[in-house]
Amino acid sequence: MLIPPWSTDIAFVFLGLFVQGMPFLLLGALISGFVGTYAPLRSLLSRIPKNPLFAAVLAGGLGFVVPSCECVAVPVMRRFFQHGLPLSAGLAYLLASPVLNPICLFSTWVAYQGFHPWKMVALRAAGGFILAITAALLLSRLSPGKVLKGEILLPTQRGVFSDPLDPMISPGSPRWLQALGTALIDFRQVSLYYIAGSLAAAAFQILFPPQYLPSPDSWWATPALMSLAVLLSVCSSADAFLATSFIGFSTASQLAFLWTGPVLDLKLLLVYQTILQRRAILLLSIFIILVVALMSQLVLPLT
Amino acid sequence: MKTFARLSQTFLFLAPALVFGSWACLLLRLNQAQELTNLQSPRFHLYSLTGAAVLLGISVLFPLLFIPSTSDLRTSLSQFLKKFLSILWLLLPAGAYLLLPPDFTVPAALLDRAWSSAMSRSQGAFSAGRVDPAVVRNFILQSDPHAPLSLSPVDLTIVQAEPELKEVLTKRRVEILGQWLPLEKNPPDEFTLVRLLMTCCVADVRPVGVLTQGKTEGAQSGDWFKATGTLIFDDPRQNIILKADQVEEVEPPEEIFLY
Repeated sequence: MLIPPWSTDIAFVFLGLFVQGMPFLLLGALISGFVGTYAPLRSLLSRIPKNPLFAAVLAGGLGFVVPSCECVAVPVMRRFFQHGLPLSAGLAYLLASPVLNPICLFSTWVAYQGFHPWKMVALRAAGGFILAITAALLLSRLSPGKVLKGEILLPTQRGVFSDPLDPMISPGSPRWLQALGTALIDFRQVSLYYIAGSLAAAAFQILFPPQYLPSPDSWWATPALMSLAVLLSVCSSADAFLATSFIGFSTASQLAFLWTGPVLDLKLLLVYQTILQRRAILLLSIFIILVVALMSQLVLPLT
Repeated sequence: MKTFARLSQTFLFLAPALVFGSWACLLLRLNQAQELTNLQSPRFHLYSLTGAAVLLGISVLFPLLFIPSTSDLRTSLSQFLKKFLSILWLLLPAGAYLLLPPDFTVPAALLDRAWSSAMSRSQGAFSAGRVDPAVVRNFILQSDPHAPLSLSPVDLTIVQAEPELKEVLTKRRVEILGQWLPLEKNPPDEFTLVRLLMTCCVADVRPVGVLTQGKTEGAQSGDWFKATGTLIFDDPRQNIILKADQVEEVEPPEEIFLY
């Protein structure tokens, strides 16, 4: 059988993304399953401020202390939304944690050694936080039915696989088994989208190699780096090293790359579909692009 | 029909175990064949192998922990088909592995990421993993001054930021191993020797190269060469150029990437 060379190249990059993301998706699913079963979620959720701004700031700020990347955050937030987490808080955490988590900020500091690492870390963290809070507040103005997927809004069926054809848990099973069952539902569901997103990202990397970046001085240098962040779908803990290789590009353009990638890339666009309606994802994407473009202009005098 | 329904029900019941088991076996196979390093940086292997062990455990225990669905397949044939397709989709990683060439040929698209193909202009220091400036510095300072010094293009990104290292390396013979990439606008005896640098996985790989002057006939993009010569630090076009008096084609190294 004759296999076109591009298909093996796509398989190569796809497997890299799969191998890299799978353990973190599994970790996120296990956390979501066990937290959903054991944690006193109702009591925890009742302590979240009713004011959407305070709720978003509190949840976004959690990103600083909880070391979770986007692959872990998605299944966890999916489960929290099912338990009634307010939109503003959940979205703020979902969008803030990939940028604000300590691993991502540390890798940014390491990558920019010799080139104002603290300034880069501070600007990246501040911009990521502002982006997450404003995007969360925007979407939380809509009704949950317009933002979240229908299945998220259904009452939770603890420990039962979501589909009637799926395997089941025997009545009277211990709680840990219910938690495991829940985790496996989430893992399988998110994996379906993660595989699709990784395949799309791999196909773009191979079929449309980002070979011809514009001159660093051109007006579209920043949009080009933002587009590259979307197409490459690189993990937020690695993207700073990539950003340093954009020689000659302004720090503002590099920051635009660093703000965009962790919250908007090909793989995430598909993975978000396990939580959000497509229209909400479209609105979120447009908002992220506009806010990042604006922020990169605002930081120009600082860089 | 009854037999078909029973078989389908059994298949659906065991499908999650099949999927998770296939992923675990894929990761263990990649690790055992030492192919995981071509897809992922070694510093993440522990996470992947832990994930594989957990998935393997779940897939083995699955038939003991859960029970088959009691839903009647005949009343939900469309759901069954949808489920069947989703299971095939989840088996895609195993299918992708079967597509890979046995020698793990690096996709040309990764080498052609031209944003940094002449990385001797790079200003960044790569401090991650083995590409540690302190390690590179000690390696150069403690090396035998009379023997050719083996360096990588990534080492040179560290050298260019340190005047002391530049001084040590002036007039020293160095050898650099890398993949050959043509430079269309340069004279025919100039090319780039590139190594691919990986931080997390193969998706973030970026080429790091050094402009090299030397004779290579019939070289193709991606061929492996070892160039031996001296480094020039004051060329107006690039910060560092390797002026090679000896360039030979060599076998690819065991580890294609630098981490």
